[in-house]
Amino acid sequence: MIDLLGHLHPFLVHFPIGILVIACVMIWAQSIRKVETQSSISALLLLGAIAAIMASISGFLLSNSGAYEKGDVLAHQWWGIGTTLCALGLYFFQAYQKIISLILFVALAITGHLGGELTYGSNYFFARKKTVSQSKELSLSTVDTIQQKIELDTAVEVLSTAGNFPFEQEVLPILKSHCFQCHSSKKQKGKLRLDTEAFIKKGGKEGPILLAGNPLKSHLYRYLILPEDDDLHMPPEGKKQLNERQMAIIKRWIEMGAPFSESMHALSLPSNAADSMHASDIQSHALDIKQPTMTLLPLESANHADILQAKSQGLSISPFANHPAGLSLNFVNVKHLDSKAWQATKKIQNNVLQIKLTKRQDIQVEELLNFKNLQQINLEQSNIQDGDLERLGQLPHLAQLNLYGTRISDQGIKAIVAMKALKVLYIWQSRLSQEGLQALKKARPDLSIVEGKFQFSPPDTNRLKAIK
Amino acid sequence: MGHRHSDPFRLSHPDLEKLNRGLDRRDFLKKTAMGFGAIALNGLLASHQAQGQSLEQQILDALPRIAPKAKRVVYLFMSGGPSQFETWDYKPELTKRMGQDLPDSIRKGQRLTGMSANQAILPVAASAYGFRQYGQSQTWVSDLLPYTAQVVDELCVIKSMFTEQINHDPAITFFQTGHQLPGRPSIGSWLSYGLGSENQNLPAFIVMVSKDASKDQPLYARLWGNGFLPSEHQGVQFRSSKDPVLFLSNPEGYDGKDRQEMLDYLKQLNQLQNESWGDPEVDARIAQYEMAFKMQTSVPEVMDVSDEPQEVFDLYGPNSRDKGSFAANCLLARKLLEKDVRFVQLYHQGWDHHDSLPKNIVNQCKQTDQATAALIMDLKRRGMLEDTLVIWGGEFGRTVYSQGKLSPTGYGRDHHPKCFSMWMAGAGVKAGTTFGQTDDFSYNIIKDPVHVHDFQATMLHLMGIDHEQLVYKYQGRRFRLTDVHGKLVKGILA
Repeated sequence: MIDLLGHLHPFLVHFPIGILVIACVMIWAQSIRKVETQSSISALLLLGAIAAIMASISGFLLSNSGAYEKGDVLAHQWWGIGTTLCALGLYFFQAYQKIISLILFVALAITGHLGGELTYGSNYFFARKKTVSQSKELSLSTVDTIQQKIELDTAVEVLSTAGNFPFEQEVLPILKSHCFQCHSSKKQKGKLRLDTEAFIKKGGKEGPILLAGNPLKSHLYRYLILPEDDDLHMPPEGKKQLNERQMAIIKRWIEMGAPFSESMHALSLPSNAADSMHASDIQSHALDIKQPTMTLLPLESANHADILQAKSQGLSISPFANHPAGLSLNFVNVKHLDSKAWQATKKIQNNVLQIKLTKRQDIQVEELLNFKNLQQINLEQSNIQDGDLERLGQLPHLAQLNLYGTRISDQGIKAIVAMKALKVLYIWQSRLSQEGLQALKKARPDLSIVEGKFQFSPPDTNRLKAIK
Repeated sequence: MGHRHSDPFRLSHPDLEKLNRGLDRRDFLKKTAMGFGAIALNGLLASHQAQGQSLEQQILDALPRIAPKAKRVVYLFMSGGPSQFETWDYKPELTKRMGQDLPDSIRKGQRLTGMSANQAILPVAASAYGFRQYGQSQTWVSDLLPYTAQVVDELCVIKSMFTEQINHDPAITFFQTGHQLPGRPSIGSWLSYGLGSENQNLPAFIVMVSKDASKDQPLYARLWGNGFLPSEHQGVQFRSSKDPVLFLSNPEGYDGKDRQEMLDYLKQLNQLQNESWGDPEVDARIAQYEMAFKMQTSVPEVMDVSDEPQEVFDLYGPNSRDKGSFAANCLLARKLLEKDVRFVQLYHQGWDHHDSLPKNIVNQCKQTDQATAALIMDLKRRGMLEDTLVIWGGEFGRTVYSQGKLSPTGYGRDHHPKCFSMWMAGAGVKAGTTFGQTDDFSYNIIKDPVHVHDFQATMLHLMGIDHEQLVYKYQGRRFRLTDVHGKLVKGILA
């Protein structure tokens, strides 16, 4: 209920302003035109003073609701109280009416201006008006089409390697110019502040605003791409909107796991900012940030346009399960595995962590060596030979190799043993001999070898009868 | 291509010109009514055509990425509602209570079907078959599943499935489409729409129905229908007859040499039609003709099992040479998965055992047990189990009490939606585990309930899709497979 009274403040403030300005104008008119309107003036002043008192009370309640920084409200508060007293004084004492009315007028203007700054930001009055194109930029678009634009936009050079995003250079300026007005030391709409790492991680009234790695589940990004007329859209309708590049940066930052650089404290902060939040508070809202494990390759997502380009050449490309930026490449739709087919993969080569070449009889191993980060190769039933394995050994991250149904024989064992990163090997129906297999197992006890020898033991038919 | 006609001849055909020019009052109104949308669409189309990607594909590409553990799914649908008591949910306590009336404290006034609601007594029926523990996981498996028992360390058995439907068709429809009323897209169609086809020569969604099962409850083609999704995403049924796909082969007396040319011109006609009408179903039709043409060569190839060694047929069991049997379908499913078909669904009917359950279920298990286990092992040795999700289950469970007269070896079980068992295996699933728990009567779930929508959400997650993001706007609403429900079942994820 008290909150509600506070919320009436923006509505109530218009009454004292309107009524008292009329009273002032009438006081001045009366002195020029010598008409007797004192009784009307008194009535207006009384009405205006009462309205000013109500506005003051509601304003005080609003300032206590926590959405505003106490220090910033102070000036507005005292000017408001002063204005109210001035109006009361004018009502009770008619001496120096003209001068006091002038003071009242000025006080009203200042109070109003201070209030405006609280709502619309500190440089609101003198800031240049934004152009129509800026504000309408995104209003017609649906989430889907914006997403497409963003995907294309993400192609912009920017962004460095995994877990190391230039937060301060790229993300912070955006927050500063578009969000701080309502979400910083000045104001904490929705109990959210975005001016320090701790506050960003803590989130707002609805909890954390970041789910590292998933922009669409992070309110910080999700609210940006809502249609502008949506109530939850940020920045609110009418405020300066982010452009596509800026949205792409935020998205990318979250995709990268929302890393903050160490020097966040370099940002100038009011000294009380840190005090107003307890350390335990931060702990309890700690983010579920997926820290990349040590074994994960530092890899940046492939350019979306390059993926589309390769797909248009008939390659099947899908995300790779074990790495957020990894791709899995399947040549199932490629008729001839010629240099043109390999050429189509040039721009995404570093992101390709798995290649599937099942049953192909036209594999050139040299081409595979261009994919430096390969972790998994499916060569089952292909034309791969013992001699090729040695070259495959040059791939430093190769962890899984499917060689079932190939001509691989005991000659290849040496090369397999030498594959340091190899963890899983499929060799069912290859030409490995029993002795060779034993030798391999002995040399590489860490290797999980799927021999594929499997036979069912015949069921005990007695047990298939119902229990009597 | 000796029999290629000159292009101008075909394109100056009067019909085509008429199609191009004709714009009567009705057309005009239709087109202008589309007004804004069409303009916007044109803009979008222009921008994506440069990329060589459909608009739909681009939107889908922009979906958030969950790393997909599974690239393919094979879903063995045991239609009719297999009894959990004789398969996976071991309830030794029931033997002591054999024949006793089901306590009200368990039933809690639950509504029964008309088939058993009027029984004077609801006599508890214990399983007529024994259970043993298998594998390193020591999972309890019924004696009726001696082969699946040997691969139990690959399975994650969910004993706490539940559904909202108590009758076959709504329950199957609910499982396959997320809604009990017909008309929504099937899971496979959603996946085809969301992920497209990895192998462009085969449909993303293929269905096979066992011919050797008793057809006690019917299946309808709409269970693998595309609903409101573009129709190229509907499941394609492969049959065991001479023509695996109906109307795919060339008609008799036609040598098919100019088929490609004919289809090219048909495509041009369709595209003209599309430009003037803008009906997405024309796109679907174009895609389907292209797919059908490719399938004229790819389907006979994949359906041909003659080069499979005897050892494989031995693995899948004695029925595996009998085309159209569940075992043969399992073998074909493996071949399709090898070809990177996204979603293969096998249906095996005949699990609706209202009476003579002990007798009938033996046969059901015989038909399916060995081939199911063989499919898992066959995928495993080929290195495919790690990115293929295998699912086994029906549309609901069966009651602990006997429908009709109870004798030690003769009883029936009615439909029971409140708990039943399923299993998943392969990609991204915790192998060798059991999830969820039912009470001593397998009547209520006491731990980790899994709703049908939860199951669907989890399946999509394993395929790399956030079930809340895969939506299709239809009749002014954005539809999902999981409607407005579905929680990821994290407990079964590896």
